[in-house]
Amino acid sequence: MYILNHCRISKGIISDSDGIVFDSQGNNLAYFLKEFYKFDKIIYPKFYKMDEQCKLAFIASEVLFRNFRRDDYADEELAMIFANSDSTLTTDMSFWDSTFAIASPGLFVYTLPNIMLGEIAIRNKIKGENIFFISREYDPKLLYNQTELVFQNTNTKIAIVGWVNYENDTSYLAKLFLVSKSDEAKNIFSLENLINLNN
Amino acid sequence: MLNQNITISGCNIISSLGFTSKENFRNVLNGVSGLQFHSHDSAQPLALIDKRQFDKSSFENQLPETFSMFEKLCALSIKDALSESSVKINSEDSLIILATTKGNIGMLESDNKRSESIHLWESARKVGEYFRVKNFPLVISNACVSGVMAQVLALRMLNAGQYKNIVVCGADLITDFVLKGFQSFKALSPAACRPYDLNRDGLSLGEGAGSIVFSIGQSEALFDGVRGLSGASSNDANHISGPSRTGDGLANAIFSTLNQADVRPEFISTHGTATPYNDEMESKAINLTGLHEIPANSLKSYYGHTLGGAGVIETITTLLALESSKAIGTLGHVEYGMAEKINLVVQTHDLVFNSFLKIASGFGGCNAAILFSK
Amino acid sequence: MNMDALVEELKVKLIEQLNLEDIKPEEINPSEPLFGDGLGLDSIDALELIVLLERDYGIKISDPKEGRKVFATLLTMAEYIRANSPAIS
Repeated sequence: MYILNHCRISKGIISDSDGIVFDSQGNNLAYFLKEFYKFDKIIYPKFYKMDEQCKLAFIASEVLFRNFRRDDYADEELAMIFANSDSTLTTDMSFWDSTFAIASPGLFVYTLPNIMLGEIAIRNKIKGENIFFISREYDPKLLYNQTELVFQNTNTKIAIVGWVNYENDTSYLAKLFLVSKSDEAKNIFSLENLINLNN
Repeated sequence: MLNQNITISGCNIISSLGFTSKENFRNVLNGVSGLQFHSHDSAQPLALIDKRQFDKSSFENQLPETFSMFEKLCALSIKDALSESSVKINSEDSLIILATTKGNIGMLESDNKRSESIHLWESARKVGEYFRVKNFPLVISNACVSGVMAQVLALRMLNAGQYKNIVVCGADLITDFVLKGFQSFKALSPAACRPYDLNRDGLSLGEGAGSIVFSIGQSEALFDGVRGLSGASSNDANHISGPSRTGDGLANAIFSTLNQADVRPEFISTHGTATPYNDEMESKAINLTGLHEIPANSLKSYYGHTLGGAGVIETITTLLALESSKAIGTLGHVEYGMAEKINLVVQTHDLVFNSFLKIASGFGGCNAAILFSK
Repeated sequence: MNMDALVEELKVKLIEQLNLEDIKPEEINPSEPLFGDGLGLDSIDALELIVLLERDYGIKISDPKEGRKVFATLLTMAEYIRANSPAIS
């Protein structure tokens, strides 16, 4: 198992395995994710409908998939194994606020953490395994173990593995890894690399 | 890869239909639905846990005062499941997996702000501490497939030799948060839901917990020695809330599950929420996988849709049905209303079956399947 | 409020309610279908339009199927509002 690419979004900076991709110059997240969307010439109007956590996951996955030969794999051969700490707490609070006037269906749909997986799946036609865990902190052991089990038990050849947590526009973290079962790359997929890379 | 000897040594259901799996199953056999209108102005029937009985049970079991209702529900369910088993949940080789969609979300209703106690990992920590576990409980939150997916993960981890025993607990409560959300989606039926019916018009919500004690290489085994064989998940990659129109996503999860085992299911416990699109999608998936002649049912009109609890509660009910050689009928179903035919069990009747498939689908386009066999 | 003004108002509200950030009011043709290819709206957008009607025009739609007819085009939506809203005379 190898890590083909990794992407991190934190503290206003987007980086991948080659280094910094985009620096927001200190702007808040909502603003800079939109800036990057335009900068990267992404055309995907659904992006604007997402809550901030999904936008964060979406942009991280876009960067992660750059140079990835998606067409080499069947839709069912791609899996996603994600985790975070807050589930969807920020959007939960927004939705609960909305119920005092008229409950918003557009917010309610984002009150499940695995909606992030759904958004990335729709964008990239990912139809394989999708699992969402909740843990207090980024837990490389959990992610490593569950990814290995997915590779062992299913036809999965590629897994997108990682952590996306959005608390507010200054406290957030996306940390994704693109993992291949057999295609060789510089970094092997190991517990050590889940700890040491992408920081 | 899978197919090792994973058996079940305990289970529990706490729902609108009772506090033990046997009590729940007796009610299901008698055609009792937990769905009721709880006040004269309520717009939809709900399947709620009897709160007086719940408080009494919490008191008798000396659950900590600091526990929320959700945490009490999980603890009561796991405790009862373990009571009939010799499994030591506090041993090094035992794990609890908690499956839920919203956990303590009701806490926002009195105070709409962040707190440690609202987090799912904090509920998991408390429940784990109550049972003095050595391994921090795993939390899975995959919308309405959470309960099935947690069982699939249990099979994978047991087969890999990572643990000897895993207790899966799937649980969710009906809160105003969840109720108002589903109302905003116009997804609720004004009457008790009617799965696979021509006039089905939405789902009915329920609350509850289900717990199953899975073990590998244990001699004690319930349900005539039924084993957990294999399972899988998939994504429709189609829409974040609407089910796929073709059923191919769920079909993928079923194919992946069946490919890992050499057993064909003799019964299917469907998700069967009774929304127009879900049931149509499932009937297509069942046809795509060539399982349309196999007897199938939905249990949603008994328990309501218990969200994170559904996959576990419905699995246990089907295990009990297998053990007593009964095909449970789809309560509330009058006239079949799908484009493609499935072999829907309408009335409860005697049926010997040795294996079954449990399937589920949910928001986020996710699907999951798990296979059990004698 | 006359029909033209209501249509213009709806264009702005639609963009805001449904987060159609890349679309300008003048790009919305009032007699073209809202769903399907045109603006790429989906079932959640339909539910959000039901919220918009209730909040801004005091009209309640409980059956999503009725919504589908009302929200066929911006024009049918405007006509429905004029016929049913206590807030518009």
